[in-house]
Amino acid sequence: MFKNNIRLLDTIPNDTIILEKNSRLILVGLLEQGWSGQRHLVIDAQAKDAHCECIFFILGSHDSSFSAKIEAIHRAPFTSIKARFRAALTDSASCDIEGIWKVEKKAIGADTYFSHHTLLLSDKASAKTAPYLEIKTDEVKAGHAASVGKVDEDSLFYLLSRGLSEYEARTLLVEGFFEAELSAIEDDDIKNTIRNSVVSFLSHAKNEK
Amino acid sequence: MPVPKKTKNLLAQTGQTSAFSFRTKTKSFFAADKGLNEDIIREISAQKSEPRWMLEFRLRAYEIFLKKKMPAWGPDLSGIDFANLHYYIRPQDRVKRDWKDLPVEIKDTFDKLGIPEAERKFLAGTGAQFESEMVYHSFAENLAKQGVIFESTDDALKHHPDIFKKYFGTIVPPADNKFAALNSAVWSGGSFIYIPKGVQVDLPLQAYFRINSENMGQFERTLIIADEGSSVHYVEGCTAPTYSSESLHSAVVEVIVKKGARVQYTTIQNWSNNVYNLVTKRAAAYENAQMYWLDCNLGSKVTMKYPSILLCQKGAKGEIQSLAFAGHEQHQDAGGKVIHLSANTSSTIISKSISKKGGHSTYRGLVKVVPDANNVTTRVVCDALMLDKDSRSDTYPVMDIKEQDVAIAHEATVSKIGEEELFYLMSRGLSEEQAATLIVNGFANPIVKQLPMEYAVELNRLLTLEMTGSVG
Repeated sequence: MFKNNIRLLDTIPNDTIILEKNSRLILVGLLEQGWSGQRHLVIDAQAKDAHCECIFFILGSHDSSFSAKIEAIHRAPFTSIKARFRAALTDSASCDIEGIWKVEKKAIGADTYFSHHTLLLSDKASAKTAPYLEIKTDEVKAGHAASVGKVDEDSLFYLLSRGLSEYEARTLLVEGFFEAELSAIEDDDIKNTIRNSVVSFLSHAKNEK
Repeated sequence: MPVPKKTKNLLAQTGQTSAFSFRTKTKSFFAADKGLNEDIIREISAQKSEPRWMLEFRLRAYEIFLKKKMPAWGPDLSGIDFANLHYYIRPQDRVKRDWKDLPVEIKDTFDKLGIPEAERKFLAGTGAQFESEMVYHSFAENLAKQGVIFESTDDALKHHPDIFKKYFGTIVPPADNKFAALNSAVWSGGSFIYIPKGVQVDLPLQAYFRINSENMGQFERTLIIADEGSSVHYVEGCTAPTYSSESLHSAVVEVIVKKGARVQYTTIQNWSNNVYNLVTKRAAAYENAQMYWLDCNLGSKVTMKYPSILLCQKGAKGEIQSLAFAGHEQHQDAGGKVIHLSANTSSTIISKSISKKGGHSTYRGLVKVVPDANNVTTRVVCDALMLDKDSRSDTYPVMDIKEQDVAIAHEATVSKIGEEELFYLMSRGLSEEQAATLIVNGFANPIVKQLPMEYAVELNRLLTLEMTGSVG
């Protein structure tokens, strides 16, 4: 039997999370306030059948900085640690995520994934991403993906050609960018909290312009 | 897949168990003492009758080398004993241009590498680096008529001092890293290529070289300048005989791709498995220029090599494709770096690595976009194949983006040989080894097919040889 456990975070903690045997932890992060310096979070799958899923949403404005090193360590067989980061940055916000995913020799059957997608909504916003993988066994499923870019011009053009204002069109596209990960969250309250934050973040971005 | 008949014959001729462990006896004309000091550098420079500025450049680089620390990251380099290496050997007095004038022993070595065959077929010019200096240099006449310069770097310093001094050390300065400093201090040999404005060299230029003296450090220095609107494809392939004590190869390659020009630089690296292969390769691409590194690493004990491209002006394009094969006790630490310094630039990095029998392969890469470099696109793909549970595969990509108007994408996968693929092939009557070899060849194929045909054949042969005995 899995113990299902969902936690909502408003920051990336300086912490070490040890995953227990037969456990399933879901960490949802809604990060709107940056911090100075680099945070360091370790997720340590020490026991068999431990699973962790991290879904982090970063809404960066002003000169906030989101800098973190996330270390995921698979030490036992049949563990999974998957993390998905989505960041939208405006003003001169910056986001620097270093993901270090390690699969030790004993961790056969590990299932591991890290992604970090960033939307830059202003000229001065910047992003750095470093998705590292260290794999010491072949019985493993490992992958990572990262992208950095602005709102897709073709999609924007399509929506404008359908009569939406530029603000409406951009809002829709940014919401869609986050919606891609929201579907994985079962808890409706958490989903709605995140959706509301995205809407207020976008109205701030509009007022600044 | 069985070992090709030709390779078997080679093995029989050399009486060795591996096609890549033969060595030939040679008589050296001048060999510097082991170890490195200012006197040896002065001696090297004097032997080569170099101008004063080059000696000063070497001495300055030597000072930097002494000050710089060893890299604190990446593979273990503790096995390098700088004091126990030869820094300069020169087998002959002058560069010979005609194949038939070459000493028999040296010819013999090249025969085993299949070089005359390669040359006969379609390669335009051959510079063969044997130990530290070019000993053989043939050149297609029509290229010379067009003003193309393809010489050993030592000769180019004598024959074309102005153009040499203008570009030498501008892309990779001695202070870039410890091994670039070492190379700058003791460099010898390598190729110098200048392609004049608008000249398209259709056939690949190739240089074949190998280390052939125990404890011989090889520090070749290559400089390629493609003037506006020109294009060239340069191919280097290396194999080295196996020795018991460690050897060091530390090259520097600088490429300048001017407006509208295109350069492809292809490497097949197959140093014997006691060689530390620590190479700095960098290109600067100007307006609408294209630079393409194709880098295949099969041999050496440790390789650290990250071909880099500076996209300096608008419209420049860069592409890096690399293939690494890490076998028993090998560490292939390879990758690529692209720095977008201007608008409308684009780049692609594709990396494939294979690890087996405890081999360790690493992808290490960087994509950087500076502020105001708008409309930049980049794609990075890294795939790793692991053949057993003792092997290791690492991926260290960094994307540092300071501009909004960009499209940057990166993806990576690590996998093992699929059980289903193996089962399917074995059910068709292939042995496990044959099936695994076929799958590895298929995995490497997207990169292998970018090579000139002869090299593709050679690389497939090498892959097959590497796979021999890898299963069971």
